[in-house]
Amino acid sequence: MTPNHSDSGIGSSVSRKEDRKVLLGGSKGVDDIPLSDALHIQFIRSEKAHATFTVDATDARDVSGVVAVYTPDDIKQSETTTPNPFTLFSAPMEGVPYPDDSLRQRSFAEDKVHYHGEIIGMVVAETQRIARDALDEITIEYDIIGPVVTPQEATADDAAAIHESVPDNVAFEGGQGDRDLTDEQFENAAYTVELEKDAQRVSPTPLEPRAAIGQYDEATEHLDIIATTQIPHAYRRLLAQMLEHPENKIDVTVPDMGGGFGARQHPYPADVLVGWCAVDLERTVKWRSTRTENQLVENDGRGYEGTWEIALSEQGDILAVRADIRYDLGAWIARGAASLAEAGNLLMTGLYDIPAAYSHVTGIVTNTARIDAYRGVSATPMLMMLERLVSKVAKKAGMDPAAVRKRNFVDPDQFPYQTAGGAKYDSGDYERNFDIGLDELDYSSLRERQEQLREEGRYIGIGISCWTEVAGLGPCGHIDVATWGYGGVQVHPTGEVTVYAGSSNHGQGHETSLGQVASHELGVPLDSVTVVENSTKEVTEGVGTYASRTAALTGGAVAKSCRKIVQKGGKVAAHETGVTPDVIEFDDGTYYPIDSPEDAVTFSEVARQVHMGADIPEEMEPGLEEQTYYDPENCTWPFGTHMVVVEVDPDTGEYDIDQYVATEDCGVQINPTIVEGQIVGGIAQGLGQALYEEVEYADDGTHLSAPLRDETLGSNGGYTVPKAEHMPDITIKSTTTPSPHTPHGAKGMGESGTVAAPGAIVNAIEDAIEPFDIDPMTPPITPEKVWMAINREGKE
Amino acid sequence: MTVEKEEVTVTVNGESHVVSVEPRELLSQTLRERMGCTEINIGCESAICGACTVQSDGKSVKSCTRFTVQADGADIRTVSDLADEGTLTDIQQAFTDEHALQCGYCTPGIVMAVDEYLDHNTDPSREEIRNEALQGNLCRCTGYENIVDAVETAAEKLD
Ligand code: FES
Ligand code: FES
Repeated sequence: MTPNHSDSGIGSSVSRKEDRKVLLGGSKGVDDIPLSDALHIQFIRSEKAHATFTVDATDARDVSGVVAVYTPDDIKQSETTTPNPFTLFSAPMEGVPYPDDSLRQRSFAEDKVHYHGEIIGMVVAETQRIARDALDEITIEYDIIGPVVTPQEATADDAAAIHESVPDNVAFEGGQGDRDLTDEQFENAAYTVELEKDAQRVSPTPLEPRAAIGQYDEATEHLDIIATTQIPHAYRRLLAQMLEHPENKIDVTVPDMGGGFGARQHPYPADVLVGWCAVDLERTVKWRSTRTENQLVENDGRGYEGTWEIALSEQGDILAVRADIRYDLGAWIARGAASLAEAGNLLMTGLYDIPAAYSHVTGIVTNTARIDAYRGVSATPMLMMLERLVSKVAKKAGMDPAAVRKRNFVDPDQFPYQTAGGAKYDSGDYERNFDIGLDELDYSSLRERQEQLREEGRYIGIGISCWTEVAGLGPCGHIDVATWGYGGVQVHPTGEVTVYAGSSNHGQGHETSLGQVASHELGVPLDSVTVVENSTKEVTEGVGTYASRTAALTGGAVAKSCRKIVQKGGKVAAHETGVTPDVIEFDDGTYYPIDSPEDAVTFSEVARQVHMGADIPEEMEPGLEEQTYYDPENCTWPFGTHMVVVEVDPDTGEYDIDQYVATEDCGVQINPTIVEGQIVGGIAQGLGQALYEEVEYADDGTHLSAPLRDETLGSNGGYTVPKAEHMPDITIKSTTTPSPHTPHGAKGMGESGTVAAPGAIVNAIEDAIEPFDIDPMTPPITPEKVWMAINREGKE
Repeated sequence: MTVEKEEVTVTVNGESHVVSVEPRELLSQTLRERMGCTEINIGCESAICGACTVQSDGKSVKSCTRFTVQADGADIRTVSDLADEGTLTDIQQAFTDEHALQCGYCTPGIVMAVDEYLDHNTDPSREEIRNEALQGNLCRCTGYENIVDAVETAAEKLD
């Protein structure tokens, strides 16, 4: 029987293999794992943002059921090595040195706290309830230091220094692009527009709160960690460094995890201390955060504020873009935070052929929780601002925003295209993709309709936002940690296949999509492929899932391993059929000599033969298993455009999204249904940023947005995650421009929605109320803000 | 400090249990910690996310904001009780057919809420699905569209 891979291979929209377990109630997250003898950790966290403190834990130690209480002194005085500071993923950008070591995050505050929620110790007890009760028995005395909550406050002349060694609170500073050329272009421009943006920190908010289990075996000195992370192998490496524990005596497993979105990439102080505590007590310890605790300290995304500018020629050519950014890092520089400055700069020209660009980023520490990766990372602010500027400058020049975009797109024959921001885009066909969106909207009729409706006192707006992202972060050498994709493939003697993937599935459907890659390459049915992921015990290596990397890099590595296997199998088939390997064909799971297809041998027959080691070429080793560390030539650069039609009621400021069209090109799609799911999911988060979401801090640094809430912005306290009723139906249209350098032409695509939606939605609302001569809006755009913009003082 | 415990009888997925609990113990805690119902997920502990939704006497309730003592005598069902010997119900099947779950953390709660909703409204519009059926549940992954599709598909099959 010849399996037909076309049913389940690359490009087919098969249903996901992971669903059934969830639907039957069988998923198991960290908190669902039965542990018979675990102790429970509760962290003592600072209630103040900036203060020196003393802690008195005497009463907590006396609570019955409490096993240990660790104050900062207890941790330092323990025989177990105090955790080292976190390290950084890379320097902020080329030519800019690493920030001062004193800014690297610490696992606990020793005598001064730097943000609301920072860990100053822990209680370990027999049950979680006892640990929580004992927390109430801890007394902390604070001596407040004036907190600096925003980048502006932090860089004011009289601002208190958060870290003494960095008195001005500036962690790093640097620019990318050609500053002089950019300035020159601005001088020669016919039209320029400048826009301000505030930091708008948003919270990734995966639905499962963070948790971790540490198990230590004294006899073998083995530390087993079960945790909510997107990067199990890298997490292990970091824990090994920080705890000074041999890496080969640590394992990290990630059970079913309820989302990540970048926030579950790098470990947090709590994770490190769970490991530390397991070693110190030589016990199994468990921590499970509450939602409030999770929101208090889990990294926010964005934090970009500043000024963005664009320059346009008389004819409508974009001459230059310029940005001056203050980047709010939080109190400590998180592991990935510095490198996001470069990632944003690379994309500052978007999909356009812009000859000059310059972006200057100042990284600033504030008395807030850390900023780090969140889906879309710095591409979101950079492209939201670029796309807002393109629309605004087009209008200023009396041109149509769609027409200006079409005029300025990088042409298909310009690839690989070197951007003025320093990126090298691999492939693209922007206008073709863009036109599909315009057709779907019937753009020119819609513009006419907009005019007519305005005469009737109705206000619709059309917003456009083009996007790309740094997808599939690689190649190695680009940053200071490994960035290859890892994929091992084992063929069982029965012909069944196990894929060992170095990525991390937590909603993306890798069990299905990576299985499809193997099914496609080996010609075996998807049902015969098992994908193993999320475990340092079972998978040799990996760098995890982030930066939209799995389809291109893990998928690429799996494809390459499969190809090595097919090749080895071909030698066996040649041996078997008495021909040379170069005349052996492999198709749909069958090997045959090109001239005598009747002598076919199936893949599973070959698999059995290689496993047994009998009747194989003499120089060949038995076994059919391969691994690949795939180090790509370049990142991949997917693209597309989101177009949004809204109607605004000027009397109330309320808006409705009437139409949402997303065009997408992520090269060859492994599973189009999963791609669409990623797009819509990203749009919901992007819509959240445009309309509802913002992490707020009080002037004294108190975090105000920890609990989830069920109302739109307007009252202080809580955080709004979009609900079903907030989302429009989305129309998705795809084109396929393969990546020229990945094994099957796939590009990453996980972040398009969060990158494109904010700009498209903000543009649409501003376009709708343009007749009211409004000032630029500041997301999240509430109906109240729309009403205020329309009715601001000084206007009739 | 000793707290009076109360004896509570609950039926969970067809099995009757008698437990002795402190008055402050939440139904979600009893179900997860004493009965091993880890299909109930705890996303917010504050009645917002709906990940902990179960059915109590046929009505969907958020188990994180109910005390176990309030559930005395109740018949509780979780998502694990829906399928018949491994055969998914129409709603469950529609969720996988329409790719209505990604990480799946919200799914057990949403399925239970939808299961109850479709009892009352067998032919909901998309707007009703968004505004009513999914009113008490958050999903951070899917953007809801495929969930709306799944509820529509399931409703058609139930007709
Ligand atoms: S955990 Fe009960 S509603 Fe969120
Ligand atoms: S699928 Fe992840 S929260 Fe809904």
